[in-house]
Amino acid sequence: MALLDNRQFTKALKQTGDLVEVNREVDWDCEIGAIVRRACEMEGPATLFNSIRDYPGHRIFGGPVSTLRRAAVAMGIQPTASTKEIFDQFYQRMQNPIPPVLVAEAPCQENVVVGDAVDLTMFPAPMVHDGDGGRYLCTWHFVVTKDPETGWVNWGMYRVMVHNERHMGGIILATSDAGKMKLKYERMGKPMPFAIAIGPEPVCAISAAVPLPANIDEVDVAGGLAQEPVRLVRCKTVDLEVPANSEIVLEGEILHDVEVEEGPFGEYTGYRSGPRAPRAVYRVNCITWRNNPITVISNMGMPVDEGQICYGTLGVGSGVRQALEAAGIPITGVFVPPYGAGNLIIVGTRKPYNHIATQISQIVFGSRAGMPANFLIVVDDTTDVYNIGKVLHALATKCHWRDGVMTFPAWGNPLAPFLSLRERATGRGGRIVLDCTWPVEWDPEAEKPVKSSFADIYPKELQEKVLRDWHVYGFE
Amino acid sequence: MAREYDTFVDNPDGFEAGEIDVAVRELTPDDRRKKYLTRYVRAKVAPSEEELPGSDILWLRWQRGRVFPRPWRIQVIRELGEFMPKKAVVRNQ
Ligand SMILES: Cc1cc2nc3c(=O)[nH]c(=O)nc-3n(C[C@H](O)[C@H](O)[C@H](O)COP(=O)(O)O)c2cc1C
Ligand SMILES: [Mn+2]
Repeated sequence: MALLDNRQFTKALKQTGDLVEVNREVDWDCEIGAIVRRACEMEGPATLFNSIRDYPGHRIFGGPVSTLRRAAVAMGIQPTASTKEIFDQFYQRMQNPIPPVLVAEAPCQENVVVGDAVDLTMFPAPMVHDGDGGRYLCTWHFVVTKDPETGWVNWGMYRVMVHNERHMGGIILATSDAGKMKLKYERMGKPMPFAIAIGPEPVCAISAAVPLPANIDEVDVAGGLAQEPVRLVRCKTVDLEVPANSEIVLEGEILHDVEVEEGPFGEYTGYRSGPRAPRAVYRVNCITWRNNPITVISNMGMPVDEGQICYGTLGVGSGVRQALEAAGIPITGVFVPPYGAGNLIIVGTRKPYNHIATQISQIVFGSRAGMPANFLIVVDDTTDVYNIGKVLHALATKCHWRDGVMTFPAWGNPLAPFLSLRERATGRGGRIVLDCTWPVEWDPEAEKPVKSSFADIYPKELQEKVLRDWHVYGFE
Repeated sequence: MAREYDTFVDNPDGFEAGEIDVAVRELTPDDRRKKYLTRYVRAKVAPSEEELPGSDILWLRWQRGRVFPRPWRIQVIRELGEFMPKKAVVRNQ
């Protein structure tokens, strides 16, 4: 299938009924944010705004991949596929990466400004939520940086806010790949060159939101997701490359000796819980863009949006599954449900020995992708991890009040809403494991409860007869 | 007409009058596209216009974004530049 760029993606979404076009003029100052937010909470369509107040000629595309259906469209998969089918396809493709190709000419460089001509307010960065720390130009994008020691290039989706005409502020966590590189540049006393691709091919944005192991190239994974190489072009002023069909590209350097206040901003947990704080400064030295640029925004908050779908379900889900498979755990499924906000992980497993839930928790919370999450539910192979009702039932009936519940102290995620401000500032948190599997030593006949279900409690011959005659009884 | 700014503080209830270094966001720029841009300034702040005649409006927000219902007044004394010098503290964020 052909790799879709941002514009082809909007057309494909229109065809599948996953996009609404708004032609009436709308305001970048909160109105667009409010519309996209409501659509997200309804699990409704994406929105293409064709007329933006103060910004003639510009458009905004909101909520690009805030449902799994739209992730499927981005990868050329039938949008009606089940959650399991979409996730399995994603998982299989991400493990078959395809390297990019370099092109000489690119739509994203149809327009160029450099130096003093740079003015970030020429793009309709939205005020996404009322009370946010500023206008967020970068919420469906990625930051490209190069390791100064190894030359390895990372793509990561880290939010960035407009500070003034030439500068932006952003979160770059020390646990992120860019955060690790930033420390190296700081030690060398050199600013960190960056490029930011806004509104890239959607598979590229998805890949950049997946917590891949270090030294795995997001661009190759994006190629794998589309089953076609991503086309890259060299930047104008930094030694980095970006997808040729990106809508807008920012080039510049991240400074070390100064900070700006950034945030607060609605987060993937569903809250605006991280306070405003001094954060990294991006100095923009060059902007390039496609003719009639479409600024793309994700509106993070209460499920469901890109935070839960791209980072949580696809990103954390795939990373945790890889870690468990690598450790040889006999898993039967991994699911990070969108309403679990990347914070709750469900693992299905066969249970050859007791305390496999403990071992799973050590792998899950010890893995890069699972480290920021807080809850783990372990079910056995009789529970479908994608069926939240069945998982809830297993939790309500199989989790022993003491032996099935385990908590232990661990790194406190600064965005965990239930931690106090002090706990967050000092990184003091914990993890909760809920083991919903029967003890191995329970005798199957004498002690293990018999499941009172059609498939478990009737003789096979009777089940077959009832199934065969189902419509004869009068059922549809 | 008075211009309007806002700033984020830990505790709007305990905000004190006086001369402070503060990051302010522009809320009423001539060019609307410049709304929400930030400057660092030295300024006098007071709870009412009587205490700071001819001053501009300063809205206070909690660090997590909610606006405090009662606006303060501000009079910018001088510009401090585009950034803050970096503080040498370790933060988990
Ligand atoms: C819309 C969106 C916004 C995000 N914003 C941030 C952010 O501001 N900071 C951050 O550390 N991670 C953020 N993430 C999660 C990262 O993209 C994710 O952890 C990714 O793995 C980072 O790339 P890296 O693994 O190369 O460091 C965001 C994810 C999404 C989907
Ligand atoms: Mn990475």
